[in-house]
Amino acid sequence: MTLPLAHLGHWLWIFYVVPVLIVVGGIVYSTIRERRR
Amino acid sequence: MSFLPLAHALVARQDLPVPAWLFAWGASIVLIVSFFALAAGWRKPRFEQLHWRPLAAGLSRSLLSTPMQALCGLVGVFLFGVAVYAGLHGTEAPDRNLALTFFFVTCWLGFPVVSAILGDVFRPFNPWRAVGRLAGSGFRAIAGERSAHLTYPERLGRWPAAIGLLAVVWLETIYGGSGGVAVGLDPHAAAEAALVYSGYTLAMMALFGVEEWCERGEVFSVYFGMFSRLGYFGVSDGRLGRRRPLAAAGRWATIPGSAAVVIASIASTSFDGAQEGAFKDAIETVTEWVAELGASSLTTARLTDTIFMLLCFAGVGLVYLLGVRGMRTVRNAPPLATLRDGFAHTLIPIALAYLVAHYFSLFVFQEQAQFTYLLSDPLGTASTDLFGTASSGIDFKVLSSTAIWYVQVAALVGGHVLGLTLAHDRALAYWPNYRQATRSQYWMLAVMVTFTCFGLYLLSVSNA
Repeated sequence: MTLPLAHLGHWLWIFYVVPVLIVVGGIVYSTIRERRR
Repeated sequence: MSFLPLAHALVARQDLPVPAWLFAWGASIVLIVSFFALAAGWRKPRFEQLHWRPLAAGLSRSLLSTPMQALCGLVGVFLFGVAVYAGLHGTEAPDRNLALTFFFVTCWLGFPVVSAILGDVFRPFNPWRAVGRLAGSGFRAIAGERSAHLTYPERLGRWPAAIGLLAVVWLETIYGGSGGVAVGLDPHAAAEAALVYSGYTLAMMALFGVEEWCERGEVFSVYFGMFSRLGYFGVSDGRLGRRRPLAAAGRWATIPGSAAVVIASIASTSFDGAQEGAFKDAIETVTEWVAELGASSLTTARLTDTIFMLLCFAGVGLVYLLGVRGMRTVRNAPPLATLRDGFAHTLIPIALAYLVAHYFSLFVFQEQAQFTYLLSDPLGTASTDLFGTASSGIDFKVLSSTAIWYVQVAALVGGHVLGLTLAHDRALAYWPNYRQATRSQYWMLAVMVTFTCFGLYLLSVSNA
């Protein structure tokens, strides 16, 4: 059985995820820093 | 058989000065800058009040008068009847029959945009509301009293409209889907579906009341009405007036199931965009799995597409709920249910942005057909030429591929900035502390950036 992941082969999708990761990463980082304070 | 043009797949990426993904980065930067600009300069809620200013009493009275309402209703019923007749008795070719373009392009795509600018323009032209009100008046005249209705179950809220919205898109893209075409539905099936829906709607109106059903269950009233909350004009206490644009949106999601309606709107548009693009390979693989169960190829294709459509609904809902859950972690946050319903209206501009981005080119091209050859020859049988335009065609050069892409990007960025603004404004009303309100909106920023990048990815793949 082949998993339906063929579209992941179009690696350009990674570039569309990077901004989301940056924003989510920024939120997590600032939340942790504030809690420590 | 010929089909409506592949209009939202006409953009050639090679014309762009930079890679398509760089637009997603640029859009994200615009959202982040907008977020900090709002945090710095928008410190009091401005959309919690409508800032209502009634229009001149005479103008308002005449526009809302019974004869005017009856006239608009008559126009709505007439146009609906023409489209159904064309579907039943016209050609089977979807691109030559008035029914499909009228239902799925002119009305389905046109009303959201016009409503978002002006207000609820569908309401007076709603054919089912017109017939329902006429029946109610007839009953009153004969029986001498108002007809009694059942109490609408409060918890059901707008869920019938959300499910109905998915059903309409299912009919268009899955039942009528024919591989790479915008609307491949048989006009006869569309007309039959319209008649079945009419019977269902009139029955529900008889059970629960015309206005109650239009507010909660009638798919088109709820769907177009949702966009109308962004608009400039509205009716309050029986009088037409102006209000601050976007302000009425904040009061829309007070009915249960409203969030599901706006999520269904974004999800169905996403599915339509991804069906032949981003999800194509995945759909083909799952289709092979389902085919192994022994179903016919048509059933297999429809079942697989339905699964992916529901997955889209779940995915969009999950992103929104994660954003809401994130807001809940900020000190002094209201209960989760309050946040879930209280921020649902912030998705309305995004639903509109997705709609414009995905269907803008289809609308421009197909409306040329609507107002030329389809108007002159509604049945598509070459038997009439009412306005002398039956031999006209669509000018596909009216929009360049690059222009379409820029409109798509502008719509997505603009819609998400508006969504961010509405969310920021609502947070200021919910949190007592300005800093906490801003912090809570980090999560909505993440939701907006996700939807923007996802939307641009879908467009870039389906248009590649």
